[in-house]
Amino acid sequence: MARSVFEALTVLAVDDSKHMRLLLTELLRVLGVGHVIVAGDGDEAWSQYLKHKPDVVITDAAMAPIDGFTLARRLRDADSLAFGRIPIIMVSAHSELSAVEKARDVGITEFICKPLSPRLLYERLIAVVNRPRELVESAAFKGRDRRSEGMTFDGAATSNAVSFL
Amino acid sequence: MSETFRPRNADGTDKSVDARFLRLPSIAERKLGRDYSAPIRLDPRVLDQMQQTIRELGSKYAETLAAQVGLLPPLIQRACAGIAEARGQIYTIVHDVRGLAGTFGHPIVGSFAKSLCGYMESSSGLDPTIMRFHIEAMRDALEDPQPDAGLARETLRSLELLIDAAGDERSVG
Repeated sequence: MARSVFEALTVLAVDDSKHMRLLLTELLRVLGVGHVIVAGDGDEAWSQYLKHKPDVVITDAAMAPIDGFTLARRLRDADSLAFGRIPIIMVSAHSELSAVEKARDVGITEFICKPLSPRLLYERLIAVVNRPRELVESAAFKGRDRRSEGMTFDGAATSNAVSFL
Repeated sequence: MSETFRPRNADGTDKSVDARFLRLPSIAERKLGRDYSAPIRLDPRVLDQMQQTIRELGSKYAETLAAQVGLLPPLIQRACAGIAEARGQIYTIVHDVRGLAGTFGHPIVGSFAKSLCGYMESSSGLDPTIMRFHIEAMRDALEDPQPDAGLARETLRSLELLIDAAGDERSVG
């Protein structure tokens, strides 16, 4: 058995800045994450996702040609009933309400505003790793619980992170 | 576990839906068994290591940051003349600085970059004075090994007033 859940994790870190990619890689290694994969934009991230099937995705928002929001939509479309939704942590310099709402609507699990702090990264990672995944099944629909998409956000968060589940 | 909703059709008739809510195991449970729950509290030794990592990488990033800020002044004139390419180059750099400077230990530079990003996002035309003052503020904060937080707040406030004044002039005009 692995010593901690992080050792058993594969995390895909996506950012167009090489400094941020290196930082995320190193911080995740210090936390003991077993396998860290990196990508420089949403397109490369999608390829890496298909190849490695990571447990968690950490992504920037603004990237070209494929940004973090488009990546999140693709990942949500690929969510399976067997394994539920893959947790997506967005780390963005865009802290405006519109960006946070957009993140919520494309299915981001956790939203962290830059500057990134080690404690915040740990807390959000632990939250998505410990949280059970919920699905809905009815005669007409079978899939992830979409009630969080209607969640309101008043923009009054006092911390630098927003959780959508 | 199941719940029953009682939504109504447009004519008021009942439109109930039976739905089951399924709880799949968490990632931690799936990887390490049902009884496992990852610790909520971060080990202070690990936190120290993470902060040390940021300091080490921050010294490498400082060179990049200085080079990026150095690229900005020559672009101001063309950006303010309405040349989209120059404006885009400035925005790309400043947005990058906004996201990274604070993470790597330059929060004051990051706050000036955030202010400039906000100005560029909300203004169709660019004022050369506002652009220049922001970029000079970033450069000065970078050159000072221990920038004064109080002075930085005052500078930021002055820049905000300048932006507001330019917005008022546009409104009147």
